[in-house]
Amino acid sequence: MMGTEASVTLNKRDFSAEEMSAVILRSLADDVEAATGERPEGAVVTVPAYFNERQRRATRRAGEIAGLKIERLINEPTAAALAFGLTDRGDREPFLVFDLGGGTFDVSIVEMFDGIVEVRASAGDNRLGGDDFDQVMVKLARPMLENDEALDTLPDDRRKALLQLAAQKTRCELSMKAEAPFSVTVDDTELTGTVTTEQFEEAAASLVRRLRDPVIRSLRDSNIDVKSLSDVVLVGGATRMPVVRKALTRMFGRFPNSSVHPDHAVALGAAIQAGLLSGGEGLEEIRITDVAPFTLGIDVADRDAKGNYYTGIFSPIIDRNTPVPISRVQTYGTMENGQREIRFGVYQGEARDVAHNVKLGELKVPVPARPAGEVFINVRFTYDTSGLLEVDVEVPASGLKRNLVIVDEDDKRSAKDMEKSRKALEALKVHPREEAENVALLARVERAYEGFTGFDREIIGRWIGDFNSALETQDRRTIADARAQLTGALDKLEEDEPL
Amino acid sequence: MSGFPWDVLGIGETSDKGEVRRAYSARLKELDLDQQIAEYAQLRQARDHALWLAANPPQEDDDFGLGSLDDDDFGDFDDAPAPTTYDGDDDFEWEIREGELADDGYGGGLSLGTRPGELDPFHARREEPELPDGWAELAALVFPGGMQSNEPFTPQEADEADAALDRLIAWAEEGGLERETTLDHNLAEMLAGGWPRSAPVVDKANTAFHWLGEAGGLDERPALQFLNARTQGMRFHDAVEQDGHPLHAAWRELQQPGKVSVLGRIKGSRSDIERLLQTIRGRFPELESLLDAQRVQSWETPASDIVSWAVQRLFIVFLLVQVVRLVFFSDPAPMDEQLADRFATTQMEQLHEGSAEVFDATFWWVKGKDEAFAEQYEAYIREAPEGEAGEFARTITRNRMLFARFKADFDALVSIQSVRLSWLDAAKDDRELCGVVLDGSFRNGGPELAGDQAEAEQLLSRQLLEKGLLSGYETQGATSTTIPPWLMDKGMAETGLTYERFDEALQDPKHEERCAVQAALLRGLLEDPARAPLETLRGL
Repeated sequence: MMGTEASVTLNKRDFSAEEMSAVILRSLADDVEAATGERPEGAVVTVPAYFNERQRRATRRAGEIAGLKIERLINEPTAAALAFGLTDRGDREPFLVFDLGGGTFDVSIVEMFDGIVEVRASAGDNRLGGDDFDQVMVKLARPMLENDEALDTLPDDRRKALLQLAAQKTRCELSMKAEAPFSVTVDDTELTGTVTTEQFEEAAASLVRRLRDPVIRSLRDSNIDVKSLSDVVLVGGATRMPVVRKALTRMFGRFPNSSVHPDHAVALGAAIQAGLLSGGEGLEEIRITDVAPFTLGIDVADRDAKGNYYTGIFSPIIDRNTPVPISRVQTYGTMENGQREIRFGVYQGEARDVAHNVKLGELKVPVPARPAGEVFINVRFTYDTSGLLEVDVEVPASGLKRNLVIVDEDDKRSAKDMEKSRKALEALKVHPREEAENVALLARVERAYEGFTGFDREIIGRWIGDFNSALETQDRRTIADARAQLTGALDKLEEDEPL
Repeated sequence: MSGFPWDVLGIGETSDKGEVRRAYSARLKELDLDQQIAEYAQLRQARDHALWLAANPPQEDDDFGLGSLDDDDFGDFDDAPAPTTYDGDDDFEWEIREGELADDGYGGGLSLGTRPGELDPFHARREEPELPDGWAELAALVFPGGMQSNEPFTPQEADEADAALDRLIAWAEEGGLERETTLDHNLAEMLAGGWPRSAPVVDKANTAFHWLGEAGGLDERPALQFLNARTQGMRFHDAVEQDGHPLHAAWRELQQPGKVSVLGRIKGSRSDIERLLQTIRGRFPELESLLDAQRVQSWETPASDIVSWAVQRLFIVFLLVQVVRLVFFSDPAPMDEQLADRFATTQMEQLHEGSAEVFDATFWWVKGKDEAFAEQYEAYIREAPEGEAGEFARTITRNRMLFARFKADFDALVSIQSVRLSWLDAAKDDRELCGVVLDGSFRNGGPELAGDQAEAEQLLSRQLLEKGLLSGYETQGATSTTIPPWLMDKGMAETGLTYERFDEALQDPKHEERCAVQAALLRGLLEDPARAPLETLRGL
C-alpha cells in the first residue's frame, strides 16, 4: 500500500498507508522507551530493495509523522546480508540473499571483504510473497470442502479471512508433513479437506516459476554466474516453505543456507546499520555500498525517417544496479524550430514505453528560441545512499541552472498538513503494549472458539467469559494472571489437537 | 605508482587481487559517500580496472588496451579520466573442452572454433557447451535440411518438436539455473531464427522461461523482442477471434473477400475498423496477411470516391430529416426510428471523425441533383437560425472554419482569424467557453456574436463555402507555433503581464489569463498580419 492512495479505516477515521506506518513506528518507539527508559530520536528503517522512489518517500514521511528522524533507509536484503556477515565474519565471495516475505520478493547479490559489504545487484517482484501462496492454497483446497453452503452465506471479507487463515495453517503444517488437513469451522460445523505436498507443489508451480526471473536478472546484472556464488542465504518467513526450498535447491544445485533467522535477520541488520551511523564501538570498520534497484530516466520524443512523431520513449539516465550514490548527466536537444520550452517527465522503471513505468514528477525549463536541435540542456540525476533522487538541469545557451527537487503529488503536502496528521495520530489511542497483548489473546481465543466443536467449544466459551471478567476488574495483576493462565491453556489445547 | 588506476588506489602496480581490494577498502573508508560522489565513482573504476588488469595481464598485440572497450559501463564523470572497467568477476577464464563443442545444429547460437570470451570478455555469456538430449532433434525439425523454412510443421513433426522441447525443458529443470539460462538463451535464438516454422512450440517455451516477462523491457533480448511481438500477436489473434472481443466485428468484416458493400459500409463501425488496422499495423504487422487485402483497401479509400448512389441517398434522407427536425422542431416520425436514433447519436461523432467526407460528398451531390434542397441547406448555414437549429449550424460551420485555416490563403486566413478574435472577445468572461474556442471543440455552437460581428461571420462562412474551403477535415500543420518577439512584446503590453506570467498562460491550458493572452496575441497579429510568418497566422 505504501506510496499509493489507498487508505484504511480505523476508529471511524481514514488513515493513509503512511499514517498507518507512522502508528507502528511510534508504537515501536514507545516500546523502546518502555524498555530502556530513553526515547529514540532517530531510526534506521528497512524497506524492500525493490521499493520505488514513491514508496521510499512515503516511508520517510511516515517517520516524520511519527516524530522520528529517519537517518537512513536500508534495503532489507542488504540488512539481512549485514546480519549474515556479522554471524560469520570474514571475507566472502559473492553470495545471494533470497528474501521472500509476506507480500514482496527481493533478491540481492552481495560480496564482503575487508569490512566492506558491497551489494552488486538487486532485483525483485513487488507483487509476490507468502500471501500469494495462501491464495493458491485456498484455490486448491476450497473445492475439496463438501456441504459448504454455510461458507457461501458468510459475508465476503469474513469468508476470505477464514479461508486465508486456514490456508496459512495448512501451509505451515505442510512444512513438516507430507499431507495436512485444510479445515474451516462455520456455525459449529467443521469442513475439512486434505492437501498433500504434491498437490500444493503442483498448484504453486507458476508462483515458483516467478521466483526465477529476479534471480536471473540479478545474476545477469552483476555478471556473476550461478557457479561462482558462494552461498544462497534465505530470509523472510515464506522461505520456510518446503516448496520454495525445494525449488531453490534445484535452481542453484545446492542446499540454501538458513543459518540466519529468517524473521530476525533484517531487524538485526538494521540495528547494525543504526550502530554504524551512531558510531557504535567495534562496528566502525564496516562500510556498506548499495545499488539503485531501478532504472531512472526521462521521457523523450523522436521522429522516424518518415517524419512520424513518437512520444513517451524512456531515455535512461541511471541504469538499474548502478552503485549509489551516483550522479550522471545526459544531454537533450530541442525538436522544433523556435521551441521555447523543454518539458519532460521523470520516470523509474524498466519498460521502453514510459507509460509502463512509475512517473515521479515533471519538469519544464524555458530555453531560448532557436532552430530545432540547436539548443541543448544537460539533465543531471543524483541518487543518494538512501535511494532518493535529485535532478539538476542546466541550459548552457542561456546559462540557466535549476536545481529541481521532484515534486510528487504527495510531496506537495505542506508542513501544516504533516502537523495535522501528527496531531490526528496522537489523538488515536494506541493500546499500550500490555493492552495490545490482551486484544491479541482475545482474538486468538475467539479463533479457537470458531475452530473447535462440541465439548471443547463449550469450555473455550467459558474461558472467554472468565478472561473478559478479569479484564473488567481493571486490576493489572488479575489481568496478568488470567492472561498467563489462558495462554497456557490455549497452547496445550492446540498442541493436543491441531486445528 | 604509475598513473591510473594505481594512483587512485594509492598502491603500486600489482596483480595481487587481495592487495587491490584491501587498498579499495581502505580508501573507501576514508570517503563520505554522500558528499564525495565523484571520488567514489573514480575509486570504483580504479578498483574494477585494477582487478581486470590483474586477471588479464597485458600482452603484446593485445586488443584490449585502454579505449577499445565499450563505453557503456563507465560512470560518466566529467572530470574522470577515461578508464576501462571491470565488473568484478575475478576468475574470468574460459575453459574449452574440445570434446564438448559438438555440432550446434544451427547458426545462431554456439559457434564452433571461436572462443566467445575473445570476442567480448565483458558481455559474453558463458554457454555450457554441452548439448542436451532433444536439442539436435528440435534444431533439425525447425531448420529442415539446416535451412530456415516457411513451411509449417506436419502434425507428426509438430508432435516430435513438442516432445523434443519437453525433453529439453526437463533436462534444464533438472540441472538448475545454469542449464536453464543456457537453454533459454539458445532456444530463444533458435526459435526466432526459425520463425514462422517454430511458431507451434514458442508458446511452450514461453511458459517454461517466462519470456513475456521481458516484453517491453529496456533489456529485452533482440530474439525475444521478435518472439514476444509474435506471441502477443498470436494472443491478440486468439482474442479477436472470440465473439466478445470489442474489435471482433471489425476483424470479421475485414476478412470478408472482395470490396465492402454499400450496406456493409453503413453497418460496420468505421472507428473500430480504423482502430483494428492501427493496432495490427503498429504492433502485429504479421496479422495483416490474415485479412482480405481488397477489403482493407476498400475500407481505406475515402468514402466520397466509392460511396454509391444508394448510400448517398440514404445519408440524404438522414440529413434531410435531421435538418427538417432541427429547423421546424417536428417529430421525425416518418423515418425508421432505429435509423433515426443511430443518426442522431452518431452525427456529431461522425462530423469529427471519418464520416465527414460522406457528409461533404452528400452536400455536393445534393447541389448537383437537387438545387432546391441545396438552397435550403445553404440558407440554413447563412442565416444561422436561433435555438437548437442555430447551434447545430454554428457548430458545423465554426468547426469547419477552424479546419479551413490549414488550406486558406493569406486573405482568407486574416478573415478567419478576425472572426475567431470576435469569438474570443465574446467569450472572454467565461473561461470555459473561451477554452472551447481555443481548443476548437465546439459542441453547442460556442459564443453568441452581436450584430455586425454575426453578419461578418455569416458573410465569411458563405465565402468559404463558395471557395470550397469548408469541405474536408485536413489537420496537417504544426501543433505549436513560433511567436515572434515583437508579437510577444505587443501581447505583454496589452495584457500588462510579466514575461513569466505571459509564458505560463501560453503553456498552461488551465491558466486564468490564457484567454486574454491569446486574444491579445491575435489582436496584435491582426494589426499587422503580414509581419509574421504565414505559419504563425495559421497556427496561432
